[in-house]
Amino acid sequence: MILEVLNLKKHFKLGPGRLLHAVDDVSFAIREKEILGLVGESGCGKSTLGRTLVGLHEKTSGQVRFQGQPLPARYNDADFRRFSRHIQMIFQDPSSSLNPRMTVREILSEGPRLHGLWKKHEVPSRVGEWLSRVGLGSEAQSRYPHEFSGGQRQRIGIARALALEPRLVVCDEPISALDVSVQAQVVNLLEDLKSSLGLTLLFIAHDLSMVRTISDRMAVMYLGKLVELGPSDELFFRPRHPYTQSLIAANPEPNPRRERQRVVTPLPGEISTPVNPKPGCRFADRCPQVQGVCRSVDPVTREIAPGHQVACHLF
Amino acid sequence: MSRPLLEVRDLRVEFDTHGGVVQAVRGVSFEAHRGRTLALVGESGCGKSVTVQAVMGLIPRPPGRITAGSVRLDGTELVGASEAVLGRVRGKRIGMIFQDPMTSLNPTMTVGRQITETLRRHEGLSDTQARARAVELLGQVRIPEARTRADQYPFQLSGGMRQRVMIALAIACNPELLIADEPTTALDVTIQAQVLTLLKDLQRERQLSIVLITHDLGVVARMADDVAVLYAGQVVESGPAERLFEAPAHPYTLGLRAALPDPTEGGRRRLTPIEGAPPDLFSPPPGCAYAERCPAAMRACATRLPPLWELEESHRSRCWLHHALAEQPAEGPLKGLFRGRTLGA
Repeated sequence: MILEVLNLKKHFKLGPGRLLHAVDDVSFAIREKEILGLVGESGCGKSTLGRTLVGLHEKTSGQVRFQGQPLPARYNDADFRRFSRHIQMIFQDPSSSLNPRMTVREILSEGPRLHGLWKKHEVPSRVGEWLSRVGLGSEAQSRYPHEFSGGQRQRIGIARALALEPRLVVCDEPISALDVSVQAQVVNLLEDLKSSLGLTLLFIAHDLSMVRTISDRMAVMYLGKLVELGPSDELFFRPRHPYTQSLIAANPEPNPRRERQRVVTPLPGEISTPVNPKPGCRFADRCPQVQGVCRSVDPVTREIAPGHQVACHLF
Repeated sequence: MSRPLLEVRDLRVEFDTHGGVVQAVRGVSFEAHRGRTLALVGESGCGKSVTVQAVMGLIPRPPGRITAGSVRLDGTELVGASEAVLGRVRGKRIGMIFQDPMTSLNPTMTVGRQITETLRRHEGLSDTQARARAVELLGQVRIPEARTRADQYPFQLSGGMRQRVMIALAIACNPELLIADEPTTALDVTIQAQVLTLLKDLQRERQLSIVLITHDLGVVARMADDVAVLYAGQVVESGPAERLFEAPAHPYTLGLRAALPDPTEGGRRRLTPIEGAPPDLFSPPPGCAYAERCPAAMRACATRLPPLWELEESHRSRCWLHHALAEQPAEGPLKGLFRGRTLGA
C-alpha cells in the first residue's frame, strides 16, 4: 500500500453550530502502481478528499499514511517541502491553475528548482524533455499559458506535476473541461506516463465510463461518505450499493438501441446538504430500498466479496 | 415523412473580430420533424450553438451576420424577417433552453413572475390567470410545492430546479419546437437523467419537435431520433441515430466513437484520440475541414470540398471516400468502411 487513509474527516466550520461534513470518516488504501478512480456527484466531497490528501486542507481528524509514514494533520512549509515532491496534484481547470504571468519554462522548473532536483544550467534541457514527454515541442518553453489550447494547457499541468517525479498523483477532474477527442489524448498520456514512470494515480472524475476505462479499482462517494469500493468492472457492471446502482443506471451510454430499451427510473430528489447531516445513512432520503434502520444508524462498511466493500444496511 | 417543421438550408454565419472574420457556420442544412428529436452534435467551436442562435434570430448584429441560407419554420422564412415577426416566433412558437439557467434567468425576479411576464406578453392572460398557469407549469415540470417555488428567486433553487424553471418558461406558450442548447451539461448525472426524462415526457404529451445541442454522445443515444454531426461549421454526417452509431460513414464520426470508452464488460481497449485540432475558421481550408486530422485523407481532400453524399434514405456523409473512383484505405481504422458505400462516378 502506498497510501492508507484511516477514518479521515474534513469538516468546515461555516458559523456557530453549522458544520459542513465534506469528508466524513473515510477509509481506503491505494496500492502501489494502481489507478484508483474516485467518482461521485458535485458536493460529494471527492475534490476535498483529494486536496486533503495532498495537504491543501488541514485534516479534521483521522490519519493518512504515505509509504507507512503518517502525514501531518496540518502541513507547515517544511512538510510541503518534504511531502509535496512525492504526492502531486493535477487540477481540473488548466487555465486557472497555471500562473498566467509565468512562461512554461518557469512553470515547469519552479518545483524541481525549489526541491533542488534540477541545477540551473539543466533547466532548458530538462524542461524540453518533459515537454516532449507530454507531446509538446520545445519552442513552448518561452510561451505563456494563454497561448495554448485547453488540451495543451492540461499537458503543461501534467508535466508540472510529474517533473517532481512524485510517487502518487492526485488527478482532480483532469479531463472534464476538455472535448471528447482531446480527453482521449490526455487519458492515453496519463496511462503511458503511469506505466513508464511507475506512478500511482488517484483519478477523481464524474464521468463513470471514462473512470472505469482508466482505473483498476473504483470508489464511489456520496455526501462525504465512501459508499462502495471495488474492482472497476465489478463495480460498474455489478454495483451493489443502491446509490452506485442509480448512478450507473443514470449514466447514458453511446448506444441508441440499448438506451431505448433501458427503463430509466431517475433517482428522485437531489443530494441533500452536507451541513450538520442527520444521523443514519446519507442516502436514505433518496434510496429506493430504504428501511427503518437506515434513518437512524450509520451503515458500517462490509467486505461482500474479496476486495469489494459496501457501506449499506442491505448487506 | 411529412413537411419538416423546421428546415435550415445552406446557412452561413460570420462574425467580425479583432483578428478578422470568423466563418462560424459554413453552409449548414438540416430538418427537424414534429414529435421527433434531432441532435446537433460536435465539439467546441463546431458552430452548433451559433446555428441555433441564427434559427432564433439571436445573432448579435454587429459583430455577427447571416450571410446566406434560409430558415423556415413550417414554411415561414425567418432569415431577414422583421423583429415583429421574429418576436412572435421566439418564445411563442419556438421555446429555448440554455446550458446555464443562472445566466439566462433574471436574478432580480421571482421565477413565477418570469413565467407570468411571458404569458401576459404572448398569450394576453390577466395577472391572476397568468399566475395560476405559471404554478400549473411549474407542476408540469415536476417542481414540488410549485406554489411556494413560484415566489422564490433563481438563487434559491438548485441547478436542476433552475433548469426545470427554464423548461417551464420555454413551454409556457405551447411552442411547436423546443431548442435545447446543452441543457444538462452543467448537471450531475442523476439530475441529468431526471431532466432528460422530463423532456421526453413533454415531447410525448405535446408532440414537440426538439432540437438538442450536445457534445455528449451518451445523451444523443438516449434522446435523439435523428443526428447531425457538425465539424468546423459544416454538417459532416447526418441521419437516423441508430444508423449513425451502428454504421457511421464519416471518418470524424468514427473518430469520435473510437475516442470514447468501450461500454461493454471487460472492454478495455485503449482509447483512440483524434490527433491535432480543428482548423482555424478565420481561413478555413478550401477542401474537407477534417482532412488534416483524417487517417485516410487523399490529395483531393485538402483542396476540394466533398459533397454530402446520400448513402441511404436520409443518411448523408460528406467524404470523398464515397466517390466511386476513390482509392479505399487498405489498412487502419477505416479499412473496409466504405465497401458498398461508394456512389457516383
